[in-house]
Amino acid sequence: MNELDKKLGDSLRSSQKEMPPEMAARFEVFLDKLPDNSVHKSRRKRWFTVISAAAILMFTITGLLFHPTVSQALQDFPLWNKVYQLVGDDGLKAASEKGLSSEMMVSATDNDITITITEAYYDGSRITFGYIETHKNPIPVDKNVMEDMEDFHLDWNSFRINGERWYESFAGGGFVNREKISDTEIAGTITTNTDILFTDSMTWDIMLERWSGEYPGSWDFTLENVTITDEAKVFTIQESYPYYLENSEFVVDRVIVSPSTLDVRFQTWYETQEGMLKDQGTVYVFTDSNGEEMEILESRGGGGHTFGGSEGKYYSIDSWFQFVPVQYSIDHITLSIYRGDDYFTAEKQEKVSPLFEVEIPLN
Amino acid sequence: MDKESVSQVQEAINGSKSAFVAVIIKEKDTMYRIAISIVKSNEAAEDAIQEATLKAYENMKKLREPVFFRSWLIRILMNQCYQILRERKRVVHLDDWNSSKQSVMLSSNLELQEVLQELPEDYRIVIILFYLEQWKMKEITEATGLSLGTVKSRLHRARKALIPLLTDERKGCR
Repeated sequence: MNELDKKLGDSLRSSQKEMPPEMAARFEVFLDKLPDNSVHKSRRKRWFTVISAAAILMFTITGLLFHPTVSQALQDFPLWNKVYQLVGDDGLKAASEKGLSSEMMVSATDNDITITITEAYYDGSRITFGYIETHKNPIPVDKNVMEDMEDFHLDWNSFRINGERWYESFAGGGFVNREKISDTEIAGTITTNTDILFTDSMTWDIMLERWSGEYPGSWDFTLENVTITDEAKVFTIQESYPYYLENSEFVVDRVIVSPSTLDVRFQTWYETQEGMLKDQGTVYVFTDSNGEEMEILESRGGGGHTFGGSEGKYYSIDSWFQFVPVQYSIDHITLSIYRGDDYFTAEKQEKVSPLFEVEIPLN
Repeated sequence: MDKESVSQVQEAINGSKSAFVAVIIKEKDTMYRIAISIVKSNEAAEDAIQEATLKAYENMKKLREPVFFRSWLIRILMNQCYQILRERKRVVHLDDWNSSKQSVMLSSNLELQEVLQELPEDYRIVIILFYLEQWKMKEITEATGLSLGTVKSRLHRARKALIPLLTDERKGCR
């Protein structure tokens, strides 16, 4: 560690946070209440639990493979189009049914594990691909229990579009659907997003890595001619509205409607004041043209201070929300904003009025 | 981890609740810093910490090497934080990192914290573990599941953003 590193570490540590005293006190009470860990279930009972879990899983897997819907999907679609049908969300299923995803079937093998990227799809918002992971030996059944699926997590470590820029994704940073489809196979989709709008066909370089667990490996791919669906509509709105806090502003930035995704992006600008940033949880509720609340597929928000200019110092938040459009009537959507925390339930919502409402036309 | 902690972790693996509590108490501030940097709110951070602690407690017997306890615990916590983010998609928190308390700090430290918060989350976690918690690179790779090369490249890029603030290069530019 050089001198600058040492100085950087010292500076950061001089202002580091500690667990607030009230939280620490509650944490100690929580620790006190932990049950005694020295008492174990009898061996017989544990075996019974394992056997029961295995039986339920076998039933689930067998049931899945022979379930009429899945069987129909397997028969109706070519191999490369099966993964979106089997494990994609409803938006990816809709795009795949329309034949809008691109066939890939590119494989790489490491550590006796072959990963085949079966299909890829980009619609102006979501960058996504489907894959099948094939093992040489049967995957232990108990590994299919979701909480143990960590061993099968694929970190989409690096990703480059058209040879220009590498993006890095962190474990858990991408939106992942995954399911065991046979004794030796797992099917999955991985999705991420980009702010840049691409308008021509694309080449993707992808490096998948699995660092930890029992099945490590590294798999590299180049996907060529990923087509861009021409059914996506991009609405650049950039209309601003006064926000409920004084001297603050809300800007609807861009909306993308594609067969698989409704993507809404906006910014909120707050003039920073002493202490005002504390406990400012904001709840965003979207309703469709029929007034039905829309289920969020994925969302993300990131904020930071913005400096300079005659307007002084602002805190801005970029937010985006994604939905599956086939589920809703979307001539327009309404965004209602509430003050609230992680425990803002539907019951609480009924009792209060939104602080702010914006209707966004989409036709 | 120091020898005393390793020994306490071994006792916790053997079923000692008091040893587990002792070792968790040592890690509570680290857990808080990691959780708050991901989930942004105290309520969610508290939930994540309690859930992760419970999972760690229930699965202590699966931990084969006591020396990996810290990285194992932080990995469980990070997964729990991401789980909470997935479940609570409607809520966006203004980061309360820059609260009034920090207005009395030296301006360079305030600016440093602001830039730290502006870094992408995956970079921020590596910075927190390396500079604030003073973890070794190997431990960071174990906790995050990233390769050594990725951890190094993230540290390098984050350094490039943060170090100019110590050398006044960026003063007046922002």
